[in-house]
Amino acid sequence: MPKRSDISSVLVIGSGPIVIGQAAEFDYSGTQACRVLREEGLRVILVNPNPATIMTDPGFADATYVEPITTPVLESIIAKERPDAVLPTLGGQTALNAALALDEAGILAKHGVELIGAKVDSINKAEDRQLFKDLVIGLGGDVARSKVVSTLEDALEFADEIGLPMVIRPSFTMGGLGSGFAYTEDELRRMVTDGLHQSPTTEVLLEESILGWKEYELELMRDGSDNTVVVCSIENVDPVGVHTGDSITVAPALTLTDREYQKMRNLGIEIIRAVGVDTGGCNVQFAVDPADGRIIVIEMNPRVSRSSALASKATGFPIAKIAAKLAIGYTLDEIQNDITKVTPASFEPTLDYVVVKVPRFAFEKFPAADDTLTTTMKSVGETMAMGRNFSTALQKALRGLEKRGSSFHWGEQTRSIDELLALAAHPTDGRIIHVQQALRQGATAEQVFDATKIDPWFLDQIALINEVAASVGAAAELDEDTLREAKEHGFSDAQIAELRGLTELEVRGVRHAAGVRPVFKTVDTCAGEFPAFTPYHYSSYDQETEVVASDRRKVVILGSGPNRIGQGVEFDYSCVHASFALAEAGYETIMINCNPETVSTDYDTSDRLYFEPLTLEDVLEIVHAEQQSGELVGVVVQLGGQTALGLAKGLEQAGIPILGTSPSAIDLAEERGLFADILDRAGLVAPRNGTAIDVDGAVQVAEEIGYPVLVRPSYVLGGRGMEILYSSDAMRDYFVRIADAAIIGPGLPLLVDRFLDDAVEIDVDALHDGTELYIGGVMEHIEEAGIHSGDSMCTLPPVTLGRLEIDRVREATRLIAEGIGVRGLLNVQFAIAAGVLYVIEANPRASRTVPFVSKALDIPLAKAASNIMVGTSIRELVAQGMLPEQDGSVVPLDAPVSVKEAVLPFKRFRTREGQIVDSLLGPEMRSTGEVMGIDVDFPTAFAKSQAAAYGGLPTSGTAFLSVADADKRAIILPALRLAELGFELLATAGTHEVLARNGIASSVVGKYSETVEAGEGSRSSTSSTAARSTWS
Amino acid sequence: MNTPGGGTARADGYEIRAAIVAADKPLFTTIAELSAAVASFSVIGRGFEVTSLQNYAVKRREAVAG
Repeated sequence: MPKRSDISSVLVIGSGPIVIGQAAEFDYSGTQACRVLREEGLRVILVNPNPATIMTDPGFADATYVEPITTPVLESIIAKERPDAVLPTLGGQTALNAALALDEAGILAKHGVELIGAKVDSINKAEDRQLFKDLVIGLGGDVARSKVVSTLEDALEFADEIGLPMVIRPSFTMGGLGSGFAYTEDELRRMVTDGLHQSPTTEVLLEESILGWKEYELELMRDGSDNTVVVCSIENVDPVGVHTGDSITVAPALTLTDREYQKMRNLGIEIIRAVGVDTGGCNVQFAVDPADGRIIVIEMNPRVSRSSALASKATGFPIAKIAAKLAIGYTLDEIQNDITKVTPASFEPTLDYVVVKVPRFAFEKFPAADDTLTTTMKSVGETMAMGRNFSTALQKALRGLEKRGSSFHWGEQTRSIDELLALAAHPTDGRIIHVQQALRQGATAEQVFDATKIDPWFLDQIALINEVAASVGAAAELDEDTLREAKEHGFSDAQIAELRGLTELEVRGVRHAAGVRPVFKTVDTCAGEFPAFTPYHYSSYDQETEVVASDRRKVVILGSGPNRIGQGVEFDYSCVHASFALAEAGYETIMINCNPETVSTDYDTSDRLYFEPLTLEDVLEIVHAEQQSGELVGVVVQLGGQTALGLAKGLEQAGIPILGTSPSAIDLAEERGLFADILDRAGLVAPRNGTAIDVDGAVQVAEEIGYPVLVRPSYVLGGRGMEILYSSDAMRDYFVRIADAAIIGPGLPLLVDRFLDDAVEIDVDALHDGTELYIGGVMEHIEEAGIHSGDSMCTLPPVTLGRLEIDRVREATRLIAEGIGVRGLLNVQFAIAAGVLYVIEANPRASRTVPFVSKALDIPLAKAASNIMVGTSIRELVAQGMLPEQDGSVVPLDAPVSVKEAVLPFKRFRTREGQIVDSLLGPEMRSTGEVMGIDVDFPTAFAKSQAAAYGGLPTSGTAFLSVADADKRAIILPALRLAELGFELLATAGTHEVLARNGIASSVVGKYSETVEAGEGSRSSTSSTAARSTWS
Repeated sequence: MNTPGGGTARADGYEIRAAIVAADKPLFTTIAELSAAVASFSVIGRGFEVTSLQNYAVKRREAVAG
């Protein structure tokens, strides 16, 4: 069937803020969908409050609403834009749930809007666990024994029947939120109670345990004429028990017999048919009992999912793009495969390589959290790698994580086999390393299988990597054959160096002298059957390169690698913009990145895409290959966050030109002493500071500076150990607490800064071209200093800063940009305390706030920065109309106010005792994403940001107040206002007293510690009851 | 609304915050956030107007053109 003629405009619903389980992959799928629908001549209306996304760039839709995804807001948009259809299958569970709510409220029918991509009936069949199970059984498939319950009593009864452990899954939640295994009755009670609360339908599914089974996923697509394709099969290396998002996964499935695979494939096709997904994609998850091969269906998602993005990147088959086309009426046989240009989309992809995905975790940010991997997803990002065999792909993926210790190693190992097996038995971040070490120490594959249930084939492959390592280590000399053997199993120069007692540089020298270099293969979807036209490549130590030489002027853009807290989709946004801007400026753009969730790794974002780890070795090889033809103008390192910036020096030393701010200028901003000199010369001040290497020194420094102080170890990544201390006792206690980490000592100084209490914090994003400064935006933080800028709310334009203060900030930014020698982007953080402007830090690179600023003020910062890096001046960019005449330091009074709110993942992390980790904000960043609220004034923009981040604030009910003495004076006005608005107030004794003296009525709530002493109730039930009553 | 104090108040504070997050209720841990929230309550009741980024851009250009 050709395109439907009755649809001329479509509302696409995005996925909202990046949260664990729903990340950048939905920006990738949504962006693809918007592009395709516009190419088809449809008017595209988009709603997504996440400013960090590419899809919300005004160029990707005809009408872009950076507004909360709530039923009333969606109705307003529908009423205003009158779309013919709503497409909810590309924005994750958020979009799907939003569409169901619209349907239920009768809004779709009222406005005559059709749901395309999936029908309500199909969504319900797939999402309602009981309906789905019945459907699978009806098809002759098998499922785990289970029961849906809506009360705790029913749950306990079912547990008596089938026994523990048991799986708990709340209905209609994403990323497995609230699900997990209950081994004891206590756990069962707690998880069911929470699960009922999490589920929008107050239902929880209880299920027979299939812990330790092999886990698989099929990505399928089906059109209106009942053509179905299996795009990809994915196998989890970690067996059932670990969420797919937290598992190491491989594509295609490697350990199935053909019979098993065909059985799964047939069942998958029957399921997509029976559920009735007739214009789009879905994924179906299976488990296989390793003992007897029994196959059961776990679940399906009737929409584009996290795995679809992975499958798209793994195969080159653009699922989201094709799903969007199917939704508007095309059939698979009518859609051409971009890659081959001769095969239709009904042609199933074939892989002649292996793909491995490895998750990236952030447990160091939540020290109290239980780091056991369960069926609740906890990873914050992932990296993918391709190789001609499994060992290569796995080793490349592990080094792509960019985390110390994430790669296999062969250094000293003092743990015994039993200790290592015990560690490997416990699924957590880095378990694969324990597996490798256990095998290396002589554990048998059987022993490791018993401990981990990881399929013996994978264990054998890891054992093979250990064997190759042994042979490389034992070789008489590091000759060509030895190097080739290592490289054919994915060993990095650094790993070979460790095995040979050399430096990485020496190994590289020997390797290049021996002529051992990688070639680059093309992802062609058809295992070489047809020529490929898309420039999507991966390295391999193979025979011939498949990259077509080009004689153009080229620019390499380094991406930001796996998402992590502090470095997420915002950086990908800047990289993608650089690619677009430089292509427009006439350059050939070459992207290097290893994050499958992103738009930058879409094969049609850049002229060429290398899906490779962002290590110096891998980048140098690509640059070398590209330098064989045409002219490499330079490498862009300032947009891919710290990952890309960290490679600048090594690239420069290898003689590769760096575009924009030079590596030595980057040092000026990053080295404390050098930066202090710049500030001195400019007459600017930083908070008083010093360094110490032991507790006595630290106390002395802190007493000189004056408390409170902000301390942070100098050589620890991720802001670990960063704290605000108020006394010398606290400082001594701090040293006791961090003693085990061994992160402070000679050569590892502790940085001690005066902490500015009650200061207003300001963030500035700016451009500098060597002669002129252009302010992108001045953001005022809503919370006082002390909360990481990534976690704090901010407003643009500032709402409490005076004109003179903004002018001072502008001037200080100019002096810093000149002092450093910035060519491109600069982010500076300031604090104003008691009228003094302090410089907190400066980063000569794209910051997290670049996309927010760009959208709030309509200034394309990343595009402009890319042009500056290749020599265009700010004046020229203004003349061309790329930059507005007036920079972001002056915002007219009638311009809208934008508020950025961070979204935090505390709910995902629990202590070993089952309590949620503490949710206090601090100097260490812990948010995973952000939203933006934009409206005429601050209160409205703020309200929108809350609605977008958390579904909105209640406007009536009960408010509970309990504040520290330091805040008692400040609580009076907000409390008074709450009382005026009709809230009933509850307060702890101290807060109650202050409120009472000020004539504000409140009821006293006993202290929790008092109720525990009095022996009232158990820990968790007391606290949850107390909480439930506060806002209901 | 809870801000951290010292001693037993600190331990209590943790219990309060953990419970609020578990119950999926709004939690404020700084006065600044609460003040912003309180200021926004009166506008929430009115419902939100929606404007596309493209419309903001048009308004911006009109303002510059005078």
